[in-house]
Amino acid sequence: LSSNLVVQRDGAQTGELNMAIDQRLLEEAGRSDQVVLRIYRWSEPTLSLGHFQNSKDIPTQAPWGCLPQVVRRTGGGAIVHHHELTYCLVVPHSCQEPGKQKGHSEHLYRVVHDALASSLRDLEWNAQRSEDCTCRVSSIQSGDSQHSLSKEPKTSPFLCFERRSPVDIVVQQHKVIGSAQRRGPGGLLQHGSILLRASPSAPQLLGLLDFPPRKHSSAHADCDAIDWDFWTEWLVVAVKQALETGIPGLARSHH
Amino acid sequence: MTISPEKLLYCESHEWALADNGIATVGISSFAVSELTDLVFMALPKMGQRVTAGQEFGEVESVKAVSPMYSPVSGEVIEVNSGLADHLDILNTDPYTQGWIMKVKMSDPSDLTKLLSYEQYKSQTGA
Repeated sequence: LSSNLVVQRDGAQTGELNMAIDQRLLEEAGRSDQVVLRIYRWSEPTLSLGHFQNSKDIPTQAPWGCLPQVVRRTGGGAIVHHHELTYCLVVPHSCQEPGKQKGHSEHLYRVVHDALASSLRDLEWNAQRSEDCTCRVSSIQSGDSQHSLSKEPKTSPFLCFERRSPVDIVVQQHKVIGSAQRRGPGGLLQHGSILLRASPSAPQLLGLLDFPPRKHSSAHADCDAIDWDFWTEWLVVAVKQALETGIPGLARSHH
Repeated sequence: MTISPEKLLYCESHEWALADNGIATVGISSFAVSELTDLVFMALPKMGQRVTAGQEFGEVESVKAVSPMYSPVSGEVIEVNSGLADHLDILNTDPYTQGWIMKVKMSDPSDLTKLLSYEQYKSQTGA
């Protein structure tokens, strides 16, 4: 197997456009053995809901409830995209476990998250896997849309970064990197979110830059500005390293 | 009536079908349930919905992924196991009898010839 990694740096786009581009990448997966890494931001603070979440379940007093909303194709909790970097990684089925067409790829989660955590430790952040879990098995309820859509149970935090799964990356017990996956006919899409700084809309969710690294590094600016170019390239290098290690045959990259 | 997995036909994507008098009962295999691990949500089809062989008819969310469910046959959904909605744990214990998802009035019974036998499916999954 010889695969190519295509890196797409898209800068800041609207929520609708970001989701539409990701959906198209998933639909096109499997037409070749290309792995696509798309890195992007959001042109305005935006709330993305997990695929099965309902905006009616947003807590009434939540300051992030009034943000523009989109619905992701991936599941999990809602994300406040503000001082945050998002990636979309699309891997064809041909590059994964043969025959697996249901459920998540633990392998992909782990190789990517471990590489990101390792790279953060190189920058002197004490980044670790959460090894904690707020996962729960629950029932579903009927709805009125095309399918009988289920509603999010009230017991689980609405925001992704208030939930924990063992592969999430935390710094000082605060989740700073989370992700979720979706399978399509030709491949698997992994959405990932790197929280760089707390948003005024969700001040309780601290980002990487809210924690000083153990010693000063160029990644940690002592000012409010976020060096998006630095973090984009950091993400490219870390994910590329993860894929080359974790998905044999990923030979070369195209930018 | 208990449905035995040996008597079913399977998709490569891990859905099963049992045909009787032009009606196909459809579900997902125990292998799929084990791959999904902890089930969180399921989007079921609606009564009267047209489904197409090989095309998505619903979705299931496990803790860390959303996965589509693909119909083994084409036709019209004439019954949905709505009780499953409130008891996804049934899929862990009995995916072939109580855990059926929908019944489809088949429009093209030849769809069944494209499915895998139990032995072929077992070989695919290595189970």
